[in-house]
Amino acid sequence: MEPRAALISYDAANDSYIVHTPSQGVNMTRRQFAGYTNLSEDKFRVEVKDVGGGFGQRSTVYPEYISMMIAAKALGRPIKWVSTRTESFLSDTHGRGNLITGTLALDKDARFIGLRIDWITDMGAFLSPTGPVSHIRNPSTCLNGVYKIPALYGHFRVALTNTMLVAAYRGAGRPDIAYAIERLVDAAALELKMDPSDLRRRNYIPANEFPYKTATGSTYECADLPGLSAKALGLADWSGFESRRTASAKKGKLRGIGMSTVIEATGAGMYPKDEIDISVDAQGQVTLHTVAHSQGQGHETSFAMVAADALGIPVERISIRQGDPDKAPKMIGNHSGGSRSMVGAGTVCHIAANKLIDVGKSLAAEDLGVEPSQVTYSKGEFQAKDSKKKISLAQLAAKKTLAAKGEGTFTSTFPNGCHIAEVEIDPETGVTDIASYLSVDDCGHVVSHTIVEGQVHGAVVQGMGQVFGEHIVYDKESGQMITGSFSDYVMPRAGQLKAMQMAEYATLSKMSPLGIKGVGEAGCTASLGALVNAMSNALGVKHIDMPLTPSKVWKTIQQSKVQPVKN
Amino acid sequence: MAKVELKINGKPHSYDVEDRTLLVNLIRDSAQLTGTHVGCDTSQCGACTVHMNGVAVKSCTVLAVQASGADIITIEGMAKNGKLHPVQQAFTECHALQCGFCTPGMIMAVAGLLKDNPKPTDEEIYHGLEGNLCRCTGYINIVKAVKKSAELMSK
Amino acid sequence: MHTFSYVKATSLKQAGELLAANADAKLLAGGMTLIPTLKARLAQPSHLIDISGMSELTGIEAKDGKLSIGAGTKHAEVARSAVVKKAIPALAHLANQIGDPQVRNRGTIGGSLANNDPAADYPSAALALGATIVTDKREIAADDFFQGMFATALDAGEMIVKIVFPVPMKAAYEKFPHPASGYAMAGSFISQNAKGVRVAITGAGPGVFRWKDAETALGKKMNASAIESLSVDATDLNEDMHGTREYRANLAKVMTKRAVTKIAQPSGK
Repeated sequence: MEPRAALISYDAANDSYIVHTPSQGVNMTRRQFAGYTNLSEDKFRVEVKDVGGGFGQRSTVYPEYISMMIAAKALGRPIKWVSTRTESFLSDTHGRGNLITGTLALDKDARFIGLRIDWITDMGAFLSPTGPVSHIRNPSTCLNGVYKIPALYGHFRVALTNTMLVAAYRGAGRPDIAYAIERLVDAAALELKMDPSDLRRRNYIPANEFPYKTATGSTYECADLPGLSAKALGLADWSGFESRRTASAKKGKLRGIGMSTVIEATGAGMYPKDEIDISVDAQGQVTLHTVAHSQGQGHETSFAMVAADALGIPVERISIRQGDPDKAPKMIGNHSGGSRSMVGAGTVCHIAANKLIDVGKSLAAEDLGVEPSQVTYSKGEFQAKDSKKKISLAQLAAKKTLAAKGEGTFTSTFPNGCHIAEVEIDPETGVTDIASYLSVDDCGHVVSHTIVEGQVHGAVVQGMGQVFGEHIVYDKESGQMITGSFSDYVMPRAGQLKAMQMAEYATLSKMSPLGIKGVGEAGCTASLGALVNAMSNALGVKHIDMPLTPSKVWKTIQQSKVQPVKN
Repeated sequence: MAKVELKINGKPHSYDVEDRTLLVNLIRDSAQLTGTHVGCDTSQCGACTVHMNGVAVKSCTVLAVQASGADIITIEGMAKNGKLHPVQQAFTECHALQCGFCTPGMIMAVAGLLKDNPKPTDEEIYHGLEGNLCRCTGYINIVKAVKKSAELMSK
Repeated sequence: MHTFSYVKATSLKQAGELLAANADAKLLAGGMTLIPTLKARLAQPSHLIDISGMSELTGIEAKDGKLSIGAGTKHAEVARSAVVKKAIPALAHLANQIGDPQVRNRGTIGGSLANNDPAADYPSAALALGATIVTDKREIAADDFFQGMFATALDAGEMIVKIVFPVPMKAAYEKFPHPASGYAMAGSFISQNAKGVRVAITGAGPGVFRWKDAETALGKKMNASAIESLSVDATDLNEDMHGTREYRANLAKVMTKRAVTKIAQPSGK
């Protein structure tokens, strides 16, 4: 909800710039500034504090900021700009915007033998830094979804249009490919008169075939799709749906159920590794520095929990510092996006904490007068094995510099999930009520259930927003943006998703010591398919394109003359 | 220009501002209380919600001059002596915020709702939150926080 | 916003004098429509004359079969007024759906009627109930007051003082909110009294209008089935990205049916 803003000043003595702007990662921001201006990265000091949401839009450096650099230098004064909401709609990067045609081939036993995707992505007037990778490379990494499909063909084209740039937006192409595949599977089930869950079950990649190399060359690490979806189907009472449909029909409503089983590759990272600097002060306060940057994901909590767990000390003694402008230029690490911060920087918090313990053991050994191999560590204290003499982190830090650097290289993980939605449509108005929503997610090891829950809530509601109303519209005649404010851009509000039933179904990733898979975008990836499948089921149509606004749904009902069976 | 004298969080303030200055800008720029946020141009998002003479209003849609002589409470005025207001406490406990940008306005709106209706039903909560947008949480934990607030405030 | 001079009026008389003296002055009551308009630089008044809180414009009173509401009364006040809930509960219900809670704490009935936004709620109540708009100069019947999109019978400088609603036997309001703005995409206010039934539709067209066919049918039988075969003429209704004119015609009918169902309930009023 925070509009874009920047404050830029020019330091004439160093021919350098100080930039204050909310961003998803200072290093990536600096890199872009350097790239656009042919100045070296060390000419930019980027300061980021609280960030009011990101979702991909704030990982881009925008033209306004470059103009502000020029003005700041020319005028010798700091230049500030805060976007209005209308300017946001006009000039923040847009999301999604893909025309996807898919064909699924099945054999006589209803097994998938081939998938063909023709994908045209509207990139807007220019290519954004994250737009092409999101909508071309990303879908290719999970082009067969959760299914064994031996033959895959994807034809990806980029259209440049006279509209605002499209960039990564929560999910960055993975919700789109998952949606297309899940819609195709439901369309196939409809045509074959099969239960959609049966058709899926028949075609899931079996658990024992992981790591699974897809036809496009990507390798899915691990998942138990049959187990995950069976859990979801049970919790959603999939088999009991027809009686609920009948009950809705008695009230004059159209009810539908839809499922979506998805997998995605989380961000591989643009930097070769993630680094964490960790240090302890004389009061025993442990500080970790990262260049990942939370925009609501709660890293200050989750990273601290990882470090606290590794160090065996209360989480209140851990401080997380993000994007410190003095430290960040000397650190290598990825921004927060692509669901990779817990996998990357989060895991490295664990690694750094353990490194700190090793460093501490050596220093404690000197202090305790023993060999390092004779020092044990537990819950904030180093102890000599034989003499039992102890020295705490605080005491040690008071005498010596107690610090370490952790690093790790972690590429994509493969979170997966099965979401099931039930919708109830009022045919008189076309309004849809989400009668129930269930998510079962495999995000590997969960550090904070609360944070994961919050991320899935938020992402599912963003998906719901896209399904039911969010749409950037330009008038065809004038080019005027019609949806330039919240008066016309339909946003989800409280009460539209009243509740979510959630369950976890972890298969641990071996990518990192903690077994984590990313989850920040998973709710978007699964919700589009689940909701549109439910709507198609309710309306008895093969397909209907988003957004499923009340007027569109009403029109569809009028055209197909679907009537609820009233008793 | 006008001289606007008003109380903010119990303290008297006096500023000379243009007639067209919005209350939110007086609060943020003149009084330097930046907890109240601007998230839209069309009075929909509610991030600017404060209490004016005891009721929740959108400070982006009130002129500073209209607040002359008024009693304003902003998010900074909710905690007392280092102790969180029950609504703030509930938001913390229920993980009802993520990026935090909508949160001050959301809390002020919830506090206003509970003043009028200390025990709202689910439908009344949804109705009471119609003036506030959130992008991060999906609202589910916010609704939980409203119920938790009601519980904490009934003690 | 463009610049303007702000004046807090001390009396209705003074407000009238200021309006007369400044051709480009505008009245400011709740500001829930005017201030966003100014922020968008869609208007450029020379003066804003603040009439909020003026005692001549406040007060809710039910007497002799009439409910009188001061023009400066806020939506939140109408929504929770015990007097309104007793006399015309449908009006309290309508007020409670305007905008959102924060908007209802500022916006006024006088402002809503004087502005006559085609998607505002109050015009349908005033028209259906056959209200009288009392200004500082005369009394105007609702049937004469609303003259199209943002146009009313008010003369330049004329100010609404109060609105007098005849208390009906029964009334109901059902609204389909615009999915983004919350304004009425179609709202139907039905009023039934000894003289018959009036149905006023807001939101669907360029201005509030009476659905006369429905009035006749419902006058014979107050039942949703009575209007089942009827339709609202879609020809002049609004059309935009949120709905075709046919969809709005449908909504107008559906909201009317739902309002009828409400009225037809034993407690319906």
